[in-house]
Amino acid sequence: MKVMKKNIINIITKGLGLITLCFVVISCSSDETQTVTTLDQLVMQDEFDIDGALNSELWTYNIGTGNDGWGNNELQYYTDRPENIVAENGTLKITARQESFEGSSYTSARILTQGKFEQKYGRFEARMQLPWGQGMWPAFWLLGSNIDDVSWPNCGEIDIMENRGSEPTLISSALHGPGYSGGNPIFKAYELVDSRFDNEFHIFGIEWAPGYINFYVDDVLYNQITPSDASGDWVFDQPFFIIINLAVGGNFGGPPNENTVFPQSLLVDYIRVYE
Amino acid sequence: MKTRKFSYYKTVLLIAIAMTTFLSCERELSDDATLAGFSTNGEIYVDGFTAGLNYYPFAGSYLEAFSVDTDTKYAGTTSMRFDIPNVGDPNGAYSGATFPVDSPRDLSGYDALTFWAKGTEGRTINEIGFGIDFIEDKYKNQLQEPLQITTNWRKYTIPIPDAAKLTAESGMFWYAEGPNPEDGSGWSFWIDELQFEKLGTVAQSRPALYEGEDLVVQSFIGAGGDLGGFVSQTFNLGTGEDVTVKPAPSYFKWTSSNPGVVSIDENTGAFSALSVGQAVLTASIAGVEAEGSLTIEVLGEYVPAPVPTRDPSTVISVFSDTYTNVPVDYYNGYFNGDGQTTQGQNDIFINGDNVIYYTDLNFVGIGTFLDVAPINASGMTHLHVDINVQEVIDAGDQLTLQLLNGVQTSNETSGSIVLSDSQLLSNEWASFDIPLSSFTGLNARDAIGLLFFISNNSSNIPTISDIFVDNIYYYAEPTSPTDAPEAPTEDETANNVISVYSDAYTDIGNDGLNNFNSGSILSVETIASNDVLKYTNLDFTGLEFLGANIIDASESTTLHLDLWSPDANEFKIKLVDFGPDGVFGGGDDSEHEINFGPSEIGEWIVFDIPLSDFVGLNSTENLAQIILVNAPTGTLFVDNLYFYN
Repeated sequence: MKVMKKNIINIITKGLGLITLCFVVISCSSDETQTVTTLDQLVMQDEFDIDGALNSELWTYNIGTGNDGWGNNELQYYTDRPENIVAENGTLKITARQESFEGSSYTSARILTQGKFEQKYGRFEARMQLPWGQGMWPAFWLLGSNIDDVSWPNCGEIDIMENRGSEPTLISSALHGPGYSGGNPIFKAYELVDSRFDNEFHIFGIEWAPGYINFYVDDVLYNQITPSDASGDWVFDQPFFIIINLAVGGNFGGPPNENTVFPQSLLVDYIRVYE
Repeated sequence: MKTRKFSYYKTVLLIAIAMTTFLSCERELSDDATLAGFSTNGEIYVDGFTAGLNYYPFAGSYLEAFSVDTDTKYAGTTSMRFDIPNVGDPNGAYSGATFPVDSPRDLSGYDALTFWAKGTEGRTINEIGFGIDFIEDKYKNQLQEPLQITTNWRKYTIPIPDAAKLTAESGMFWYAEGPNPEDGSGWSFWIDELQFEKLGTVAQSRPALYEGEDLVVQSFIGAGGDLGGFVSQTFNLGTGEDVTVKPAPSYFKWTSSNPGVVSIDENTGAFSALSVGQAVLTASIAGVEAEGSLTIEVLGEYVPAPVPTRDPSTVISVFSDTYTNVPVDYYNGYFNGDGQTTQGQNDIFINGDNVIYYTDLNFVGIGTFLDVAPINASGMTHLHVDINVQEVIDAGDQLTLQLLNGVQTSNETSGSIVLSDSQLLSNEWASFDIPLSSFTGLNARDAIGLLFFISNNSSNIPTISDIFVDNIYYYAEPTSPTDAPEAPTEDETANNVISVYSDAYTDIGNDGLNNFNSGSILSVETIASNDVLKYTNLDFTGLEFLGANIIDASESTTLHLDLWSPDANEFKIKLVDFGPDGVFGGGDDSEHEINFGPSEIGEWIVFDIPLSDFVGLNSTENLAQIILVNAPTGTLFVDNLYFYN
């Protein structure tokens, strides 16, 4: 099955110098525009062009329900079954199903690059089409790689995209750190005026460099967070890993209701990381 | 919240149909020539009428319901105001209208009709939508449920089912709303900024047929129907809320999985069964398959049961299209806990005929004792039922019909009869008229609560599995004729008619038409302008012709009489000839009786009896007695009693 992996995981050792260089360039101009970046060197990509299971050199699966529904009272049981997660037709498909499974009423999937791809700074983006309906909670986010040493929220969390399925035109992003976590993160929502997130693909990303994180959807940069916005320590100068998941229910948007249509899928066209 | 459904605009449809032929060429042209470019203007009423907009109130509605309001408006200087009359308003029973434009619009670039609205109180607008163009309403669309209006301005969205179809639409907007059904009060509401919009946030089309159910029905060749009214389509709006509309069938593409078995009009959803087999009927809209389907199993040619002819005033009908049926609890009680396997009930409808189809029959009951009044069949004499066995009938197969009176009371009684393999027909209707008196053990029939069909044989093993049942009704045999018998055709002279009793001939003299003191009572009744003899309490009676009245029938060959019996009593007739001495006794008398067996019930029966059949008669020259016998005692009507040749 794993004959030709087109997926690149180039963890470039000489990258540090490049980033530094970039930073200098950025900092020169960001005083005025706050947005200019040249994070355009691809260091990781998964295009999901190979049907079937995911690239195990890049991804691991979270299985089960975690503690208290992954800390959020989520209702699903995460599996690595193809019914819940599969690559097909060039797209990663994470599917939430309503089924009785291992004591849970729903199943879905959550993948992460912990220990396989972890990176400090850069441009992280994914092109995704979201599920819809009350109780859907798709997310594309990063966690500090030192989470096992310092625990959450000291490790930091960068939520590039979260969505409530009951709000098909609205997504939000957030930073969690010491003193600004849980129900009190640095948060901003972004709304589409004349289109939706659940019937076409959109690009969700951050530009992350020392001193700031920019959040964008498609070609719209809608938020910049700097250390001065944080009410606690800035913990975003260390490697982070990527998580993509589709939760059902949970504290963010509440449980599904009788109008929720199952199954629902989060489609990921690609994930790319640039320096 | 009560859902009210009115069909206000039906009367308007008549007008629309009348105009169709006149305008149809224009429609065809528009379908083909959309590129010619109708206006893509989506505005209907933003701050005043859009160009060419008309106001056509529906028939019977309050014509002045719509007005332009300059005081209340959401934006600009005016809004549309609609006044709903109170119950009893002489100006109209409801408000309803369509707003078509003179020249069709190309709405294919939009995804919804939107407007702002508020009401004088929080109420619902019963029906609201677009696509009534007064031509064929081909792309009519409306909200499935009444629209809830508040007393504050709010924006409302009615999704377009498939905008690609709306390249030449005239019906911009329509509504219908009546007074409050509880208290009869009217109200008013305002609409502003009424327009078609490309919101971009109307998505997740979920069309459904039969609300997403997969239905299975049996049918027959030649049967048909229409699925067009059973579709809906639910969208998700940008707010996250679902909205369901009821699109016209023309928005859908209709498909049969097996067009040779059941064909379906791809535009209208009208279908017809063509041959034996199975077909699944489905619909799709803009490439999205509707959830739900109708599977039709075509069983074969359909021959309906004979149409009942009994006078409705003598019938209590349980299941028939000929009569008004009494309310029943069910046509299949599904007593599964008691081991019932039987499936099916009154679920076949073909060519206007409802038929019960029981399958996997072991026993099944038709109930009239739970929520409906039990059937009082005290005045009835018979149970009629038509049964068509849908399989080969084997020797020993049988159906038992059981009646229960006073179900679940201390007076419950029951009786049953058995229809044997020789009485039932395979793939043909067999009609049964069963005297209620033959349900032995049914001691009362004033509160019949259950009629069972049981296919178990005496060993309690089910025999017949699948049957059609139709025309289940109780009836009373009429107790007297309502018509006259056929008038006699013999010529009084040429055929040498010797008439005892007839309006058609001159009757001879007699010495009593009801002699022998058996207790029978004779009266003459005029029925349909014709006099007949009516014998009641008849066991036997003698008609006597003595002395000068004695009948010389030696020149006659035949005895004629017309007989009407309300029951199946045995009928016999005896002739007595007094011999050459012309008086009773004397050793020369002779007689002969013929037994005709059970009488046909409830109709005039013609008897032409050759006198030669009375083989015991030595002569017919001195006929002095005609003796009529009815066993057991009952009633007979007699007319046109005469000899002839």
